[in-house]
Amino acid sequence: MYYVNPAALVFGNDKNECWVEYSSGSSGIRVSKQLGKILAENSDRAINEGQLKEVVALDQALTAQDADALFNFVFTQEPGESKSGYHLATQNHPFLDMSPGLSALEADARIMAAYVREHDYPAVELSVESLKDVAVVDAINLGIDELRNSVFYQFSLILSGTFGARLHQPGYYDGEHDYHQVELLRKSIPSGGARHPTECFVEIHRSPMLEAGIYYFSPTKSVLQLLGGALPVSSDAERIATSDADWVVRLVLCSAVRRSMFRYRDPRSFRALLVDTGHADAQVAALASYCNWHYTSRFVVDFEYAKNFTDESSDDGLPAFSIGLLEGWN
Amino acid sequence: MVYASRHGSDLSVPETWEKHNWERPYVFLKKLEIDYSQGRHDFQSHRYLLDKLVSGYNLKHAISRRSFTSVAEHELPASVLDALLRCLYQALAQETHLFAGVVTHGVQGWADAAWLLDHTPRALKRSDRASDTEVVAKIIQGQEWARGKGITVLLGINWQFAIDAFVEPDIAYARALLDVGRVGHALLLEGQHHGLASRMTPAVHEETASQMLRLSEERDVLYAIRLVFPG
Repeated sequence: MYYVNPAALVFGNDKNECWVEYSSGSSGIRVSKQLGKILAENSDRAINEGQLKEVVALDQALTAQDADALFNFVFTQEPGESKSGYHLATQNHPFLDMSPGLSALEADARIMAAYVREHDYPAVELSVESLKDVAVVDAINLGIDELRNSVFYQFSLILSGTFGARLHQPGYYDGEHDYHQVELLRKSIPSGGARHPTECFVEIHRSPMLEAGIYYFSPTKSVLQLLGGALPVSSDAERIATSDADWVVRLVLCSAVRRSMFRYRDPRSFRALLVDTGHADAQVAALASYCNWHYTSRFVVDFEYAKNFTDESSDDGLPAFSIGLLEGWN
Repeated sequence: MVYASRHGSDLSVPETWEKHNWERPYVFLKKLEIDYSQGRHDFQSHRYLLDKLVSGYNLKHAISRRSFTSVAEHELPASVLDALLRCLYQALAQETHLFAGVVTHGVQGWADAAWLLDHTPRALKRSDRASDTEVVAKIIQGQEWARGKGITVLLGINWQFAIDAFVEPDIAYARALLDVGRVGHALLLEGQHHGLASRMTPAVHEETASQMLRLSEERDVLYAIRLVFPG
Protein backbone atom coordinates (compact mmCIF):
# COMPACT_ATOMS: atom_id res chain seq x y z
CA MET A 1 0.00 0.00 0.00
CA TYR A 2 1.16 3.52 -0.77
CA TYR A 3 -0.18 6.81 0.53
CA VAL A 4 -0.43 10.04 -1.44
CA ASN A 5 1.34 12.91 0.32
CA PRO A 6 -1.28 15.53 1.29
CA ALA A 7 1.16 18.17 0.01
CA ALA A 8 0.68 16.85 -3.55
CA LEU A 9 -1.59 19.06 -5.62
CA VAL A 10 -2.54 18.24 -9.20
CA PHE A 11 -2.85 21.08 -11.71
CA GLY A 12 -3.99 21.15 -15.32
CA ASN A 13 -4.50 23.76 -18.01
CA ASP A 14 -6.43 24.34 -21.21
CA LYS A 15 -3.50 22.98 -23.25
CA ASN A 16 -4.30 19.53 -21.90
CA GLU A 17 -1.16 19.52 -19.73
CA CYS A 18 -1.18 18.02 -16.26
CA TRP A 19 1.40 18.23 -13.48
CA VAL A 20 1.74 17.53 -9.78
CA GLU A 21 3.42 19.86 -7.29
CA TYR A 22 4.51 18.72 -3.84
CA SER A 23 6.84 21.49 -2.66
CA SER A 24 7.08 25.23 -3.20
CA GLY A 25 10.86 24.72 -3.40
CA SER A 26 10.73 22.59 -6.55
CA SER A 27 8.95 22.70 -9.88
CA GLY A 28 6.10 20.38 -10.74
CA ILE A 29 6.31 16.90 -12.30
CA ARG A 30 4.58 16.44 -15.66
CA VAL A 31 2.25 13.44 -15.56
CA SER A 32 -0.43 12.05 -17.83
CA LYS A 33 -4.02 13.09 -17.21
CA GLN A 34 -4.77 9.52 -16.14
CA LEU A 35 -2.08 9.53 -13.42
CA GLY A 36 -3.05 13.08 -12.46
CA LYS A 37 -6.63 11.93 -11.93
CA ILE A 38 -5.52 9.04 -9.71
CA LEU A 39 -3.31 11.36 -7.65
CA ALA A 40 -6.05 13.97 -7.29
CA GLU A 41 -8.67 11.46 -6.25
CA ASN A 42 -6.42 9.82 -3.67
CA SER A 43 -4.76 12.85 -2.09
CA ASP A 44 -3.99 12.03 1.55
CA ARG A 45 -5.42 8.53 1.04
CA ALA A 46 -4.12 4.98 0.60
CA ILE A 47 -3.64 3.57 -2.88
CA ASN A 48 -2.95 0.01 -4.10
CA GLU A 49 0.77 -0.52 -4.71
CA GLY A 50 0.43 -2.80 -7.73
CA GLN A 51 -2.07 -0.56 -9.49
CA LEU A 52 0.07 2.50 -8.83
CA LYS A 53 3.32 0.96 -10.13
CA GLU A 54 1.54 -0.22 -13.25
CA VAL A 55 0.11 3.22 -14.04
CA VAL A 56 3.48 4.89 -13.40
CA ALA A 57 5.31 2.38 -15.62
CA LEU A 58 2.89 3.02 -18.48
CA ASP A 59 2.89 6.82 -18.11
CA GLN A 60 4.51 8.24 -21.23
CA ALA A 61 4.63 11.80 -19.86
CA LEU A 62 6.96 10.74 -17.03
CA THR A 63 10.75 10.67 -17.27
CA ALA A 64 12.64 8.07 -15.21
CA GLN A 65 13.95 10.86 -12.99
CA ASP A 66 10.44 12.19 -12.38
CA ALA A 67 9.15 8.69 -11.61
CA ASP A 68 11.86 8.44 -8.92
CA ALA A 69 10.80 11.84 -7.56
CA LEU A 70 7.20 10.65 -7.35
CA PHE A 71 8.19 7.63 -5.27
CA ASN A 72 10.54 9.72 -3.13
CA PHE A 73 8.26 12.66 -2.39
CA VAL A 74 4.68 12.11 -3.50
CA PHE A 75 4.06 8.48 -2.51
CA THR A 76 4.92 7.26 0.97
CA GLN A 77 4.75 3.79 2.44
CA GLU A 78 3.50 5.10 5.76
CA PRO A 79 0.42 7.28 6.30
CA GLY A 80 1.36 10.98 6.16
CA GLU A 81 1.70 13.17 9.21
CA SER A 82 -1.53 14.79 10.40
CA LYS A 83 -0.48 18.16 9.11
CA SER A 84 -1.88 20.59 6.58
CA GLY A 85 -0.82 19.76 3.01
CA TYR A 86 -0.24 23.46 2.41
CA HIS A 87 2.18 23.56 5.35
CA LEU A 88 4.02 20.42 4.23
CA ALA A 89 4.42 21.83 0.72
CA THR A 90 5.72 25.22 1.79
CA GLN A 91 7.79 24.59 4.94
CA ASN A 92 11.43 25.71 4.79
CA HIS A 93 10.56 27.69 1.68
CA PRO A 94 13.73 29.19 0.14
CA PHE A 95 13.10 32.94 0.41
CA LEU A 96 15.58 35.51 -0.81
CA ASP A 97 18.43 35.21 1.71
CA MET A 98 18.96 38.65 3.22
CA SER A 99 22.13 37.71 5.15
CA PRO A 100 24.57 39.20 2.57
CA GLY A 101 23.21 42.61 3.66
CA LEU A 102 23.43 45.44 1.14
CA SER A 103 23.77 43.20 -1.93
CA ALA A 104 20.62 41.30 -0.91
CA LEU A 105 18.74 44.59 -0.44
CA GLU A 106 19.88 45.71 -3.89
CA ALA A 107 18.79 42.40 -5.40
CA ASP A 108 15.41 42.78 -3.70
CA ALA A 109 15.09 46.36 -5.01
CA ARG A 110 15.83 45.12 -8.56
CA ILE A 111 13.13 42.45 -8.22
CA MET A 112 10.61 45.06 -7.06
CA ALA A 113 11.62 47.45 -9.87
CA ALA A 114 10.95 44.67 -12.39
CA TYR A 115 7.54 44.00 -10.83
CA VAL A 116 6.65 47.69 -10.97
CA ARG A 117 7.62 47.84 -14.68
CA GLU A 118 5.68 44.67 -15.42
CA HIS A 119 2.37 45.26 -13.63
CA ASP A 120 0.31 48.08 -12.16
CA TYR A 121 1.15 48.67 -8.53
CA PRO A 122 -1.85 47.76 -6.36
CA ALA A 123 -3.71 50.57 -4.62
CA VAL A 124 -2.92 50.99 -0.91
CA GLU A 125 -6.61 51.23 -0.07
CA LEU A 126 -9.86 50.19 -1.70
CA SER A 127 -11.74 52.40 -4.08
CA VAL A 128 -15.47 52.25 -3.38
CA GLU A 129 -18.51 54.20 -4.48
CA SER A 130 -19.62 56.02 -1.35
CA LEU A 131 -23.23 57.06 -0.85
CA LYS A 132 -22.26 59.17 2.15
CA ASP A 133 -19.06 59.87 4.08
CA VAL A 134 -18.92 59.97 7.88
CA ALA A 135 -15.75 61.53 9.29
CA VAL A 136 -13.94 59.45 11.91
CA VAL A 137 -11.67 61.30 14.34
CA ASP A 138 -8.00 60.40 13.95
CA ALA A 139 -6.86 58.31 16.92
CA ILE A 140 -3.73 60.40 17.35
CA ASN A 141 -5.93 63.37 18.38
CA LEU A 142 -7.82 61.47 21.05
CA GLY A 143 -6.65 61.63 24.64
CA ILE A 144 -8.25 60.58 27.91
CA ASP A 145 -10.38 63.74 28.17
CA GLU A 146 -11.91 63.30 24.72
CA LEU A 147 -12.48 59.58 25.16
CA ARG A 148 -14.11 60.05 28.55
CA ASN A 149 -16.72 62.40 27.13
CA SER A 150 -17.75 60.93 23.79
CA VAL A 151 -18.82 57.44 22.80
CA PHE A 152 -18.26 58.42 19.16
CA TYR A 153 -14.64 59.33 19.96
CA GLN A 154 -14.25 55.89 21.53
CA PHE A 155 -15.65 54.30 18.38
CA SER A 156 -13.26 56.46 16.32
CA LEU A 157 -10.28 55.35 18.40
CA ILE A 158 -11.07 51.68 17.82
CA LEU A 159 -11.29 52.09 14.02
CA SER A 160 -8.65 54.75 13.41
CA GLY A 161 -6.22 53.28 15.97
CA THR A 162 -6.29 49.99 14.12
CA PHE A 163 -6.85 50.69 10.44
CA GLY A 164 -6.05 54.40 10.07
CA ALA A 165 -2.98 55.49 8.12
CA ARG A 166 -0.33 57.03 10.35
CA LEU A 167 1.88 57.90 7.40
CA HIS A 168 1.18 57.84 3.68
CA GLN A 169 4.52 57.47 1.96
CA PRO A 170 4.40 58.31 -1.76
CA GLY A 171 6.36 56.28 -4.29
CA TYR A 172 9.59 57.71 -5.70
CA TYR A 173 12.49 56.73 -7.90
CA ASP A 174 16.14 57.35 -7.01
CA GLY A 175 17.85 57.32 -10.41
CA GLU A 176 21.35 57.46 -8.93
CA HIS A 177 20.93 54.10 -7.23
CA ASP A 178 18.18 52.80 -9.55
CA TYR A 179 16.02 52.39 -6.47
CA HIS A 180 12.21 52.29 -6.63
CA GLN A 181 10.34 53.09 -3.42
CA VAL A 182 6.74 52.05 -3.85
CA GLU A 183 3.80 53.85 -2.25
CA LEU A 184 3.15 52.58 1.27
CA LEU A 185 0.94 53.17 4.27
CA ARG A 186 2.17 52.95 7.86
CA LYS A 187 -0.37 52.02 10.48
CA SER A 188 -0.49 51.42 14.22
CA ILE A 189 -0.49 47.69 13.61
CA PRO A 190 2.53 45.98 12.05
CA SER A 191 2.35 44.31 8.66
CA GLY A 192 5.06 42.33 6.86
CA GLY A 193 6.65 44.58 4.23
CA ALA A 194 4.10 47.30 5.17
CA ARG A 195 1.63 45.63 2.78
CA HIS A 196 -1.34 46.10 5.15
CA PRO A 197 -3.70 43.80 3.26
CA THR A 198 -6.37 43.80 6.00
CA GLU A 199 -9.34 46.02 5.24
CA CYS A 200 -12.31 46.69 7.48
CA PHE A 201 -15.99 46.72 6.50
CA VAL A 202 -18.20 48.14 9.22
CA GLU A 203 -21.82 47.07 9.57
CA ILE A 204 -23.77 49.46 11.77
CA HIS A 205 -26.65 47.41 13.16
CA ARG A 206 -27.54 49.75 16.00
CA SER A 207 -26.24 53.21 16.84
CA PRO A 208 -27.68 56.38 18.38
CA MET A 209 -25.69 58.44 15.85
CA LEU A 210 -24.96 56.54 12.65
CA GLU A 211 -27.32 55.39 9.96
CA ALA A 212 -27.59 51.60 9.73
CA GLY A 213 -25.76 50.09 6.78
CA ILE A 214 -22.46 48.72 5.51
CA TYR A 215 -19.51 51.08 5.42
CA TYR A 216 -15.88 50.82 4.34
CA PHE A 217 -13.33 52.47 6.62
CA SER A 218 -10.95 54.46 4.42
CA PRO A 219 -7.47 54.48 6.05
CA THR A 220 -6.14 57.58 4.29
CA LYS A 221 -9.30 59.71 4.47
CA SER A 222 -10.34 58.54 7.96
CA VAL A 223 -13.97 58.30 6.91
CA LEU A 224 -16.64 55.65 6.89
CA GLN A 225 -17.92 55.35 3.34
CA LEU A 226 -21.49 54.13 3.12
CA LEU A 227 -21.85 51.32 0.59
CA GLY A 228 -25.54 50.64 1.20
CA GLY A 229 -28.26 50.62 3.81
CA ALA A 230 -29.18 46.96 3.50
CA LEU A 231 -27.51 44.77 6.11
CA PRO A 232 -26.69 41.17 5.20
CA VAL A 233 -28.63 38.30 6.68
CA SER A 234 -26.20 36.23 8.70
CA SER A 235 -26.01 33.52 11.32
CA ASP A 236 -25.22 36.31 13.81
CA ALA A 237 -28.73 37.80 13.54
CA GLU A 238 -29.97 36.36 16.83
CA ARG A 239 -26.87 37.41 18.74
CA ILE A 240 -27.20 40.94 17.32
CA ALA A 241 -30.92 41.18 18.05
CA THR A 242 -30.53 40.10 21.67
CA SER A 243 -27.65 42.45 22.48
CA ASP A 244 -28.54 45.10 25.07
CA ALA A 245 -25.85 47.48 23.79
CA ASP A 246 -26.52 50.95 22.37
CA TRP A 247 -23.98 50.34 19.64
CA VAL A 248 -23.99 47.00 17.86
CA VAL A 249 -21.48 46.83 15.05
CA ARG A 250 -20.13 43.95 13.01
CA LEU A 251 -16.54 44.36 11.77
CA VAL A 252 -15.69 42.18 8.79
CA LEU A 253 -11.94 41.98 8.17
CA CYS A 254 -11.14 41.17 4.56
CA SER A 255 -7.80 40.70 2.85
CA ALA A 256 -6.77 42.68 -0.23
CA VAL A 257 -4.69 39.79 -1.50
CA ARG A 258 -3.17 41.60 -4.47
CA ARG A 259 -0.97 43.81 -2.26
CA SER A 260 0.83 40.83 -0.79
CA MET A 261 0.88 38.83 -4.03
CA PHE A 262 2.47 41.72 -5.90
CA ARG A 263 5.34 41.93 -3.43
CA TYR A 264 5.86 38.26 -2.59
CA ARG A 265 5.33 35.96 -5.57
CA ASP A 266 5.64 32.62 -3.89
CA PRO A 267 2.88 30.45 -2.46
CA ARG A 268 4.36 30.46 1.02
CA SER A 269 3.90 34.22 1.51
CA PHE A 270 0.15 33.85 1.74
CA ARG A 271 0.66 33.01 5.45
CA ALA A 272 1.22 36.71 6.14
CA LEU A 273 -2.42 37.48 5.28
CA LEU A 274 -3.82 35.45 8.16
CA VAL A 275 -1.15 36.68 10.57
CA ASP A 276 -1.99 40.24 9.54
CA THR A 277 -5.67 39.64 10.32
CA GLY A 278 -4.67 38.33 13.75
CA HIS A 279 -2.75 41.52 14.54
CA ALA A 280 -5.67 43.72 13.41
CA ASP A 281 -8.23 41.70 15.36
CA ALA A 282 -6.07 41.90 18.49
CA GLN A 283 -5.65 45.66 18.22
CA VAL A 284 -9.44 46.10 17.92
CA ALA A 285 -9.93 43.88 21.00
CA ALA A 286 -7.35 45.80 23.06
CA LEU A 287 -8.65 49.27 22.09
CA ALA A 288 -12.27 48.20 22.63
CA SER A 289 -11.41 46.96 26.10
CA TYR A 290 -9.54 50.22 26.86
CA CYS A 291 -12.78 52.13 26.10
CA ASN A 292 -14.93 49.62 28.00
CA TRP A 293 -16.52 48.33 24.81
CA HIS A 294 -16.99 44.61 24.26
CA TYR A 295 -15.39 42.86 21.29
CA THR A 296 -15.62 39.22 20.30
CA SER A 297 -14.70 37.66 16.98
CA ARG A 298 -14.67 34.46 14.98
CA PHE A 299 -12.63 33.00 12.14
CA VAL A 300 -14.21 32.72 8.71
CA VAL A 301 -13.18 32.20 5.09
CA ASP A 302 -15.68 33.91 2.82
CA PHE A 303 -14.98 35.02 -0.75
CA GLU A 304 -18.60 36.09 -1.22
CA TYR A 305 -18.96 38.78 1.46
CA ALA A 306 -17.18 41.66 -0.30
CA LYS A 307 -17.64 40.38 -3.85
CA ASN A 308 -19.70 43.34 -5.02
CA PHE A 309 -18.11 46.13 -3.01
CA THR A 310 -15.20 47.09 -5.30
CA ASP A 311 -13.64 46.19 -8.63
CA GLU A 312 -10.71 44.71 -6.71
CA SER A 313 -12.94 42.21 -4.98
CA SER A 314 -14.54 41.11 -8.22
CA ASP A 315 -11.15 40.78 -9.96
CA ASP A 316 -9.08 39.01 -7.29
CA GLY A 317 -11.45 38.19 -4.47
CA LEU A 318 -11.37 40.02 -1.16
CA PRO A 319 -11.77 37.10 1.25
CA ALA A 320 -13.08 37.76 4.74
CA PHE A 321 -10.96 36.08 7.46
CA SER A 322 -12.51 37.44 10.64
CA ILE A 323 -15.90 38.69 11.74
CA GLY A 324 -16.09 40.63 14.97
CA LEU A 325 -18.96 41.92 17.07
CA LEU A 326 -18.32 45.29 18.69
CA GLU A 327 -20.74 46.47 21.36
CA GLY A 328 -20.74 49.81 23.15
CA TRP A 329 -22.93 51.49 25.77
CA ASN A 330 -23.70 55.20 26.10
CA MET B 1 -6.48 28.91 -17.49
CA VAL B 2 -5.06 26.73 -14.72
CA TYR B 3 -7.24 24.44 -12.68
CA ALA B 4 -6.47 22.32 -9.64
CA SER B 5 -7.94 18.86 -9.09
CA ARG B 6 -8.64 17.28 -5.76
CA HIS B 7 -10.87 14.41 -4.74
CA GLY B 8 -12.71 14.35 -8.06
CA SER B 9 -13.49 18.04 -8.49
CA ASP B 10 -11.72 20.75 -10.49
CA LEU B 11 -11.26 24.32 -9.31
CA SER B 12 -10.37 27.11 -11.73
CA VAL B 13 -7.67 29.46 -10.45
CA PRO B 14 -8.34 33.18 -11.16
CA GLU B 15 -5.82 34.90 -13.40
CA THR B 16 -4.31 37.20 -10.75
CA TRP B 17 -3.60 34.32 -8.42
CA GLU B 18 -2.04 32.30 -11.22
CA LYS B 19 0.04 35.20 -12.51
CA HIS B 20 1.57 35.74 -9.05
CA ASN B 21 2.26 32.07 -8.38
CA TRP B 22 -0.45 31.91 -5.71
CA GLU B 23 -2.39 28.95 -7.12
CA ARG B 24 -1.78 26.83 -4.03
CA PRO B 25 -3.02 29.47 -1.53
CA TYR B 26 -6.15 29.90 -3.63
CA VAL B 27 -6.88 26.16 -3.57
CA PHE B 28 -6.14 26.07 0.17
CA LEU B 29 -8.55 28.94 0.89
CA LYS B 30 -11.36 27.69 -1.33
CA LYS B 31 -11.20 24.29 0.34
CA LEU B 32 -11.26 26.00 3.75
CA GLU B 33 -14.23 28.10 2.69
CA ILE B 34 -16.22 24.92 2.03
CA ASP B 35 -14.95 22.95 5.04
CA TYR B 36 -15.40 25.79 7.52
CA SER B 37 -18.86 26.79 6.34
CA GLN B 38 -20.18 23.61 7.97
CA GLY B 39 -21.33 23.96 11.55
CA ARG B 40 -21.86 26.83 13.90
CA HIS B 41 -19.02 29.17 14.91
CA ASP B 42 -19.62 31.41 17.91
CA PHE B 43 -17.90 34.68 18.68
CA GLN B 44 -14.98 34.32 21.09
CA SER B 45 -13.39 36.73 23.49
CA HIS B 46 -9.60 36.68 23.74
CA ARG B 47 -9.17 37.44 27.41
CA TYR B 48 -5.41 37.90 27.29
CA LEU B 49 -5.92 41.09 25.23
CA LEU B 50 -8.34 42.76 27.60
CA ASP B 51 -5.79 44.07 30.11
CA LYS B 52 -3.13 45.11 27.64
CA LEU B 53 -4.04 48.81 27.68
CA VAL B 54 -4.27 49.95 31.28
CA SER B 55 -4.04 53.23 33.12
CA GLY B 56 -0.64 54.76 32.60
CA TYR B 57 -0.31 53.23 29.16
CA ASN B 58 1.11 55.68 26.66
CA LEU B 59 -1.64 55.30 24.07
CA LYS B 60 -0.34 58.00 21.72
CA HIS B 61 3.03 56.28 21.65
CA ALA B 62 1.29 53.02 20.80
CA ILE B 63 -0.84 54.63 18.07
CA SER B 64 2.26 56.09 16.41
CA ARG B 65 4.12 52.76 16.61
CA ARG B 66 6.99 52.07 14.21
CA SER B 67 9.03 48.91 13.80
CA PHE B 68 12.57 49.24 15.13
CA THR B 69 15.47 49.73 12.76
CA SER B 70 18.30 49.96 15.31
CA VAL B 71 18.84 48.47 18.74
CA ALA B 72 20.03 50.14 21.99
CA GLU B 73 23.30 48.88 23.40
CA HIS B 74 22.14 48.55 27.01
CA GLU B 75 20.80 45.32 28.50
CA LEU B 76 17.12 44.56 29.09
CA PRO B 77 16.07 44.32 32.74
CA ALA B 78 14.79 40.90 33.83
CA SER B 79 11.45 42.50 34.73
CA VAL B 80 10.75 43.05 31.02
CA LEU B 81 11.26 39.35 30.30
CA ASP B 82 9.04 38.48 33.30
CA ALA B 83 6.26 40.68 31.88
CA LEU B 84 6.51 39.13 28.43
CA LEU B 85 6.48 35.62 29.89
CA ARG B 86 3.37 36.41 31.95
CA CYS B 87 1.73 37.73 28.79
CA LEU B 88 2.70 34.56 26.91
CA TYR B 89 1.42 32.18 29.57
CA GLN B 90 -1.84 34.10 29.77
CA ALA B 91 -2.28 33.81 25.99
CA LEU B 92 -1.25 30.16 25.73
CA ALA B 93 -3.68 29.20 28.49
CA GLN B 94 -6.42 30.10 26.00
CA GLU B 95 -4.70 29.33 22.68
CA THR B 96 -3.86 25.76 23.68
CA HIS B 97 -3.02 24.72 20.10
CA LEU B 98 0.02 27.01 20.13
CA PHE B 99 3.40 26.79 21.82
CA ALA B 100 6.23 29.27 22.36
CA GLY B 101 9.99 29.44 22.49
CA VAL B 102 12.03 32.42 23.66
CA VAL B 103 15.57 33.48 22.77
CA THR B 104 17.31 35.85 25.17
CA HIS B 105 20.20 38.08 24.17
CA GLY B 106 21.42 40.62 26.72
CA VAL B 107 18.75 40.18 29.40
CA GLN B 108 20.07 40.95 32.89
CA GLY B 109 20.44 37.82 35.01
CA TRP B 110 19.67 35.52 32.11
CA ALA B 111 22.05 33.53 29.95
CA ASP B 112 21.99 34.19 26.22
CA ALA B 113 20.08 31.07 25.22
CA ALA B 114 16.99 29.55 23.65
CA TRP B 115 14.19 28.41 25.97
CA LEU B 116 11.02 26.41 25.43
CA LEU B 117 7.98 27.32 27.52
CA ASP B 118 6.70 24.38 29.49
CA HIS B 119 3.29 24.25 31.14
CA THR B 120 3.34 21.37 33.59
CA PRO B 121 4.46 23.08 35.72
CA ARG B 122 5.24 26.44 34.16
CA ALA B 123 8.95 26.51 33.53
CA LEU B 124 11.48 27.44 30.89
CA LYS B 125 13.48 24.55 29.47
CA ARG B 126 16.86 25.68 28.22
CA SER B 127 18.02 24.27 24.89
CA ASP B 128 21.60 23.11 24.62
CA ARG B 129 21.73 24.08 20.94
CA ALA B 130 23.36 27.20 19.52
CA SER B 131 21.03 30.21 19.63
CA ASP B 132 23.26 33.17 18.86
CA THR B 133 22.06 36.02 16.65
CA GLU B 134 23.43 34.20 13.59
CA VAL B 135 21.03 31.33 14.24
CA VAL B 136 18.13 33.70 14.91
CA ALA B 137 18.99 35.56 11.68
CA LYS B 138 18.89 32.26 9.80
CA ILE B 139 15.43 31.54 11.23
CA ILE B 140 14.15 34.88 9.85
CA GLN B 141 15.76 34.41 6.41
CA GLY B 142 18.94 36.35 7.14
CA GLN B 143 17.21 39.63 7.96
CA GLU B 144 19.47 42.07 9.79
CA TRP B 145 17.08 42.81 12.65
CA ALA B 146 18.12 39.65 14.52
CA ARG B 147 21.21 41.49 15.73
CA GLY B 148 21.71 43.20 19.10
CA LYS B 149 20.25 42.80 22.55
CA GLY B 150 16.64 41.73 22.68
CA ILE B 151 14.08 39.02 23.21
CA THR B 152 12.89 36.90 20.30
CA VAL B 153 9.65 34.99 20.76
CA LEU B 154 8.88 32.13 18.40
CA LEU B 155 5.26 31.01 18.20
CA GLY B 156 4.12 27.84 16.55
CA ILE B 157 1.49 25.17 16.19
CA ASN B 158 1.24 22.01 18.28
CA TRP B 159 -0.36 19.73 15.67
CA GLN B 160 -1.58 17.18 18.19
CA PHE B 161 -3.50 19.75 20.24
CA ALA B 162 -4.57 21.67 17.13
CA ILE B 163 -6.12 18.59 15.48
CA ASP B 164 -7.84 17.76 18.78
CA ALA B 165 -9.35 21.24 18.77
CA PHE B 166 -10.14 21.77 15.08
CA VAL B 167 -10.14 18.22 13.56
CA GLU B 168 -9.15 19.21 10.01
CA PRO B 169 -5.39 19.92 9.59
CA ASP B 170 -6.01 22.79 7.14
CA ILE B 171 -8.45 24.50 9.49
CA ALA B 172 -6.03 23.95 12.39
CA TYR B 173 -3.24 25.53 10.36
CA ALA B 174 -5.27 28.58 9.30
CA ARG B 175 -6.50 29.13 12.85
CA ALA B 176 -2.95 28.85 14.17
CA LEU B 177 -1.69 31.47 11.69
CA LEU B 178 -4.38 33.92 12.73
CA ASP B 179 -3.83 33.18 16.40
CA VAL B 180 -0.04 33.60 16.32
CA GLY B 181 -0.72 37.08 14.91
CA ARG B 182 -3.12 37.75 17.75
CA VAL B 183 -0.72 36.49 20.46
CA GLY B 184 2.16 38.32 18.76
CA HIS B 185 0.13 41.51 19.01
CA ALA B 186 -0.45 40.95 22.72
CA LEU B 187 3.34 40.72 23.11
CA LEU B 188 3.82 43.87 21.02
CA LEU B 189 1.38 45.81 23.24
CA GLU B 190 2.94 44.44 26.42
CA GLY B 191 6.39 45.36 25.09
CA GLN B 192 5.27 48.90 24.25
CA HIS B 193 4.19 49.36 27.87
CA HIS B 194 7.80 48.66 28.87
CA GLY B 195 9.38 50.88 26.21
CA LEU B 196 10.18 48.09 23.77
CA ALA B 197 9.78 48.29 20.01
CA SER B 198 9.15 45.21 17.94
CA ARG B 199 9.43 43.65 14.52
CA MET B 200 7.79 40.45 13.34
CA THR B 201 7.65 37.99 10.46
CA PRO B 202 5.82 34.78 9.57
CA ALA B 203 8.66 33.98 7.11
CA VAL B 204 10.51 31.60 9.40
CA HIS B 205 12.73 28.68 8.46
CA GLU B 206 11.00 25.90 10.36
CA GLU B 207 13.82 23.38 10.38
CA THR B 208 16.38 25.83 11.82
CA ALA B 209 13.91 26.88 14.53
CA SER B 210 13.09 23.24 15.34
CA GLN B 211 16.75 22.36 15.71
CA MET B 212 17.45 25.34 17.95
CA LEU B 213 14.53 24.56 20.27
CA ARG B 214 14.89 20.74 19.92
CA LEU B 215 11.26 20.44 18.91
CA SER B 216 9.48 17.14 18.41
CA GLU B 217 7.68 16.34 15.13
CA GLU B 218 4.30 17.56 16.31
CA ARG B 219 5.48 21.16 16.72
CA ASP B 220 6.29 23.67 13.97
CA VAL B 221 7.28 27.31 14.42
CA LEU B 222 5.13 29.70 12.34
CA TYR B 223 6.04 33.20 13.47
CA ALA B 224 8.82 35.24 15.07
CA ILE B 225 8.59 38.55 16.91
CA ARG B 226 11.61 40.39 18.28
CA LEU B 227 11.31 42.96 21.06
CA VAL B 228 14.15 45.39 21.79
CA PHE B 229 14.88 48.80 23.22
CA PRO B 230 15.18 50.92 20.08
CA GLY B 231 18.58 52.53 19.48
